Amino acid sequence: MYKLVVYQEKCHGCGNCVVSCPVNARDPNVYGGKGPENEDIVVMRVINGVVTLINPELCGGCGACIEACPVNAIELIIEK
Amino acid sequence: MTEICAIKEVCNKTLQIIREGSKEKRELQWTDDKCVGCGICADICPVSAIEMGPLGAISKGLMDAPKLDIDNTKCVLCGMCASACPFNAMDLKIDGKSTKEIAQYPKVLRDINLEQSVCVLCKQCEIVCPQDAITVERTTPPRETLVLGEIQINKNTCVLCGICAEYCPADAIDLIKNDFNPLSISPYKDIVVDTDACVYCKVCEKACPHNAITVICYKCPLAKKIKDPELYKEIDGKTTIYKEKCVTCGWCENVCPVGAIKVSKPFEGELKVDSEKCNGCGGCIAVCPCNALAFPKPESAAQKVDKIAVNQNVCVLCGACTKACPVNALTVCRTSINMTETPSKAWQERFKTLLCKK
Repeated sequence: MYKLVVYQEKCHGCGNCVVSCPVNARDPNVYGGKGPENEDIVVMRVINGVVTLINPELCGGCGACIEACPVNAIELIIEK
Repeated sequence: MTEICAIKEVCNKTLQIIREGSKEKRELQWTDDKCVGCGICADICPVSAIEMGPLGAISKGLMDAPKLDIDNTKCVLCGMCASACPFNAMDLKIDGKSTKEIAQYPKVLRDINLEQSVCVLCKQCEIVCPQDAITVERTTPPRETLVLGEIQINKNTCVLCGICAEYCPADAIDLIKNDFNPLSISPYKDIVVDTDACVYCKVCEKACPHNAITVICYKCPLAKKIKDPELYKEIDGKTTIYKEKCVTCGWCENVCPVGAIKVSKPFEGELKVDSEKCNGCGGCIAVCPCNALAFPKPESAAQKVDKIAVNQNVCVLCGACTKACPVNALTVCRTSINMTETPSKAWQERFKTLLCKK
């Protein structure tokens, strides 16, 4: 019923969403700010300076990334 | 064969699924304001027609969205969700009559009761209630009935030094400033006592270096301990519990110093917390209708504490936290449901799925 969306044109590439995401944080690599290396368990990652969704369906809707993003470049939308 | 199609209406934080057949009309109504996001409806729905929303983000106020959605193409309007919802957020009406009024449909039971004659009107339940479901009104006798006396400052001997005002524990003494100038050279022009604030404690009398103050206390002239608290019987008031707001979390019952409130909860069991899995998003804390979860704070530097913790005494085992957690750090394990009986074997079996698997 909901979907994680990113607006790459707004993104500054800070990576706050990558490190605040509790799903990403299951992988210890996230503590270093890199985000999980495993392609299967990462929700989003900064690629070429902008946030890129890898597995948005893993999102649990907690809103941590929305709280962490300084430029409103990530949000949850309701799909009808 | 004509297909019976249910209509979906979304209006003003309510969602309705309506199906009108030749025999009867069924209407399922969900009310967002009453819903706590526990997802029991979604768990019990036999056709998986209910999907929960992004509960963490909604509860944190990051987005305005309904806590759940019902798929009208899947919903069969059986009413199992309405029977299982402990918070009256879901209601099924058959030809206008709610299944809550039909005996065959089971109901999850929970209640709260107050013994007003036992209540000491301490207001602690009002402060801790996470749903603002309790108000305590109390009236106490006027202060004059407790303190009574007289105070006099001899303006002829008083030098307006202000030492009494510095000592006064009730801030009842004020020196009135003078707009001094070469023709009126004093910095102060008067001293006054606020008799509404003065408790006739005699501190000023003892402190005054010029012996200018006389205080008489009528209430405790012999400085004896007061034998019995006489005021108590004169305290009047009323505690009101708004049952429609109450989630029967038990905060009030647990803080009540005299056992005046009894809460019966919908489920028995335990909320299991896997603190190691928690990554601190705070979704569970935001969604919990009972304020039962918290991030423990270390008491000293470098002390290692659990990442997330629950107070089982104030948890209703609704499971909203488990639905909000994106990393499955929480599991609700219910051992029994406080509910009315249903003659239907199929319904009995379906309700058992809400219990923890042994």
